[in-house]
Amino acid sequence: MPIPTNELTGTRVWHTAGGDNFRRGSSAVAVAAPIAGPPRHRLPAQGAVQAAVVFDETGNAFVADLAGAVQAFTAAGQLRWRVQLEGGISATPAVHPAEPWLLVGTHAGWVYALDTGTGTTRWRTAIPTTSDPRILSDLLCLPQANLVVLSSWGGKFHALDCRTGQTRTTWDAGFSPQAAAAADARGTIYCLRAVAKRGVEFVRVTSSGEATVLHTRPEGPRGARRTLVAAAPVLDETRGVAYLVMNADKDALLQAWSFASGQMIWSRSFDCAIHATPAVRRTGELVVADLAGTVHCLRPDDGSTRGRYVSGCEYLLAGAVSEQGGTAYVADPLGQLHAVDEQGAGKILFAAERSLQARPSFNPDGNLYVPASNRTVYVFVPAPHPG
Amino acid sequence: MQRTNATTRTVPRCPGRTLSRRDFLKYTAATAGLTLGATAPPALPGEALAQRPPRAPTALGLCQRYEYAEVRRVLGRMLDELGDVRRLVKNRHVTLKLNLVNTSEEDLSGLPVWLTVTVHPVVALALGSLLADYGARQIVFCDQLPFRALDAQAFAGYGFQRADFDQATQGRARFENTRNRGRHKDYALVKVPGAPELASSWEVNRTYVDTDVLVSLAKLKSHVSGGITGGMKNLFGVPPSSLYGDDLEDRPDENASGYRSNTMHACSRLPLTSVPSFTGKSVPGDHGYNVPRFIVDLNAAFPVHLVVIDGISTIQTAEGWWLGSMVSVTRPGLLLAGRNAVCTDAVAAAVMGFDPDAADRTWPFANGTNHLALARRKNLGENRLAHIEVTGLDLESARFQFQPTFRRNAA
Repeated sequence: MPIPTNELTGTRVWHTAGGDNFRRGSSAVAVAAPIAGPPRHRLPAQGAVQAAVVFDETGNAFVADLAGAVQAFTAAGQLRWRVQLEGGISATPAVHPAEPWLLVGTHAGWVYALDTGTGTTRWRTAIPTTSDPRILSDLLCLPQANLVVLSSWGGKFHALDCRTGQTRTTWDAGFSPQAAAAADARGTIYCLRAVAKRGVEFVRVTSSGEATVLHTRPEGPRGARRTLVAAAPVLDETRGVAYLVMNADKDALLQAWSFASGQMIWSRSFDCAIHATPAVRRTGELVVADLAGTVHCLRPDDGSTRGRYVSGCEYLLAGAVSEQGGTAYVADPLGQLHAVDEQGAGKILFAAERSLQARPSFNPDGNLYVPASNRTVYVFVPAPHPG
Repeated sequence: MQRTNATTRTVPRCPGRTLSRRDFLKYTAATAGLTLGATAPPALPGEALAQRPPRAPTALGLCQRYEYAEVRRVLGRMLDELGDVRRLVKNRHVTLKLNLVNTSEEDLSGLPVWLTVTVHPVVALALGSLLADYGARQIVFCDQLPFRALDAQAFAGYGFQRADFDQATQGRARFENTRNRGRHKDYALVKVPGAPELASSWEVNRTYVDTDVLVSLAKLKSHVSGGITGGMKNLFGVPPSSLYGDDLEDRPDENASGYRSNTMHACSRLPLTSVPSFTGKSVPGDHGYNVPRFIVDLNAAFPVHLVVIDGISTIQTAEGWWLGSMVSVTRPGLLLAGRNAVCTDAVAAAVMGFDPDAADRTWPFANGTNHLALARRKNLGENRLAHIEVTGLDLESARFQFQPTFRRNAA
């Protein structure tokens, strides 16, 4: 089944974690110079920021933090509004591409639709659960169907109507769900989940909630309950491939699954698990940050290694992002921001005083927003700072 | 603890009060009539205590990496900020309770235990080195571990290398696996002073008693039953498997190595101590009721003189891999230290983004009792931030929110 293609190989307006619903982490904005330090702006937050920053068409940046605050900043770094929600936020919100709505999920199990212009709550709804209510999965917005998709520790993915917050459909999300769903250009949803006795499953879900298991990695000896499923599936619509991080007990497979054949094209093993969602460069090459602290640059044809960069941190939690020119940026829990070129050569661009645990993002001008745990979002620009 | 002139001291003293068997029987007779499994929680003493709860400053320091020189530098500055640590340990026998776990052969998605669940050996090494420099006479690193070896060999799997500690402490380090009575000829029976909650006494390896100074070296973590792990919860590892372990049958066993789930979490059985030692006021099956009360009873019996908390790299939501994929790695990049365990843990809870005086069954104490508030009511220490001095890094700058503790049942 071919996936609809998109002429762009990156995203101009990053409405979601990873840019768009494909979660590729690739910017479509051509810039004259690479990102450079020091940061141009420091956006103050109310708590540690572990959700990626998202944007609207005009470049307003939306910052959600672990203290439960959501703030909107102009492209120049001026605060437009701030609201306090119920529950901390670590799931990246989503901006509706066609409406002025910012969709946010919290640790207290609430989903909010905020007005992007004022921060006013349009609606909010509590996700039902008999145990822990938290929402950890980055939100997904499907404008065609007016759906917002997320999971909670109630064990379900939920597709809510963006306009009202009413539940349209739900499906099994497996153990301790935290991985985001992705969607293709037609609005078909793809997700990963860990299921007892079965393992990690790659699942396709229609907007009406019909779920089909496309692929399974059987559970390891420790069982699916202990299997890390944190990375979202990544869809490369240009090549008709979905990339899947399939962890087992303490190792991982990165697998390329063909939409055309419905089969696995290749599978690449890692001797450690992977927490971060991979990025896809404009060229189709993959950038994978692993739990051993290494950034792998992989060829899209067979997953072979083109280059490898050791970050110096014991583990990497956040996914890389790539600019149009091919340089990838990876943030690490030591507080370092790394730039990694297509050959796998890297350098440290900046060091924050606290950890970086969220995926960076680009605004429509190609500026890089790096969330930090010291209640700050650092903004870097693609040219040397004149000062 | 009774303080004595260090220059005249040769025999370490118990930090709590030990009991003779005769004392103990006299004591338990006074509390007879209490039955195991009572469901009604006891009435707490009134909030208005005649005596203000003790308090002491807590020091905070940023430290991103497990590099020995850096950890030692930051920790040394913090201990100096506390003011009296040098005097506390000079010429003293120091026992350092490590926060390890009941196996060294596990990992979290491949990440080693010291980056996630247990105290990193570099933090222990740096602290041991500082205490040696301050003049500690001997430094005993201990915890109960499920291995036959009772010495340093038992600690190797957690990253603790004997040679490193010998060098850093100028040969004054010793390791003790306290899962049984170890090298001692008998156990110590320690009374819980005041009005105990669930344990009227503890029967433990004498390492925790034959000492001048007790240090709790803990990991900053969430804990499903206790809300947070810190210096107080770390003492849960003191009661030995040989008397409290799940693998015991009907008599004590010096070879036992099991966890204390049945005796100190579910409370489905009594420990096999030499005399009755539990009050019978536990609630079988309710970990959120039992665990916080045992934490308080342990801290009442074994006053901690210094708490150091490794918050550099850890996990959130719950306390270990045994709770499955709900646990996730996070990196606060912090060290905490304090002279009062309640105060230090209260600051730790605040650093994690929680209210240390939160109501029972609210985050972070989502599944039970706030043991920090209970400890204050027991006069063990202050848990209200407004009454606690924080030194070094200010609390707002240190704050690093954790994802909330896992909630077993919907609110």
